[in-house]
Amino acid sequence: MKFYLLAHNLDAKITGSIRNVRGCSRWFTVALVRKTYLVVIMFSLVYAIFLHKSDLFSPSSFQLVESTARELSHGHMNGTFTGHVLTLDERLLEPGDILLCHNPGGSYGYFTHSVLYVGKGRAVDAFDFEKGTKLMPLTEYRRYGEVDVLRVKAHAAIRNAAAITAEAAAGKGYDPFASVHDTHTEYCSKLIWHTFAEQGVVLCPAKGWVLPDDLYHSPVVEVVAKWA
Amino acid sequence: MHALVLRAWGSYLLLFIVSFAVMGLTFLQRVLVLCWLLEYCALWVQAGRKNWPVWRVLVTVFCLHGLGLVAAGISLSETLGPHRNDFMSGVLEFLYHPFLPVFELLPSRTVFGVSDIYLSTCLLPIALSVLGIILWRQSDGPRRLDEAAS
Repeated sequence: MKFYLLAHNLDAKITGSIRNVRGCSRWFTVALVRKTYLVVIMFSLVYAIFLHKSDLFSPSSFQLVESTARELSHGHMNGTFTGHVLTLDERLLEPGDILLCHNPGGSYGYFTHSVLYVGKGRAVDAFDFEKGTKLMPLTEYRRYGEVDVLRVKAHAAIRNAAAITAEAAAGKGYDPFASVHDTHTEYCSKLIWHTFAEQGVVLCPAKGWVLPDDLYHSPVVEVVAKWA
Repeated sequence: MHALVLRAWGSYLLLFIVSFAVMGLTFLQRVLVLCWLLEYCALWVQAGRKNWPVWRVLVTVFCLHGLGLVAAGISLSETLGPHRNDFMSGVLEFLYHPFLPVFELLPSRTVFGVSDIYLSTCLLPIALSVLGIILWRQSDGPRRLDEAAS
């Protein structure tokens, strides 16, 4: 009986010690995790500002963020739809043509949206967070105030190849905050930049965000039509 | 409860800002998300050591994830319903944008007609809420065992 009580007391002391050690190790782990998080945050900030020289801290980025925030109160970032309906002539379009859409009150430039025409009355559109990159009929863009058609100054075979590449990108996710070099997700102008970059045509310098206005001012495109 | 909510929101705000700053460094963005998840787990483990009733845990979960849950619910109903409004989807995407570099590792496909990245973002506040509750329960276990033993 005494031996049993001795063994029971010893077992209770050991279990209690283990619980104390567990408690200490848990506290130590929690503290270590929290310190590690802060260290990683500080390292990332220092790297972004001084080494990577993040585009976020440029004056143009601040202006873009400010104007976007102002427009977000409308619930979208492609200006104000006036109710006007354009007439788009598909006969003027060729696969690989870039359509730039304008609405008044846009937050990131004159043009608020861009799509790539892939033929048969369809365009590849990367503007939808819910449904990702998708094929849309041309009639979808009649509601904009102005649509300009740009044609890349390259052989038709290159433009056709770009159209095929863009069509294959249907289904990719939409993320307007991703880097231009990130190919997992797209947004409207980045998709167009990517598809032509894969064909060896650089439309504009790769920077933080590629905007529809950047495509308009590209030296390797020409305006072939304007509907307003 | 206030301390946990403030700490969790503070750490997420840091993640939110730094994730923007390191845009272009996808690997670093993913590391940041992983570190934040560990930090989040650590906060709930600490909460488990306190004598919290269930209602307090639920209120804490709602304070942390209520905005995301409401945004996800409204966004899903508007996406799948007849009247389409993108505003709540924009709020959801903006709120959880640090997680998008992780979700884009999923294969590019649509599920029930919507992007898998979008669905993952909608499910994220639910997943984080459940994770917090599970960690609280697991961390509360040893204290209850101690009380039962004594």
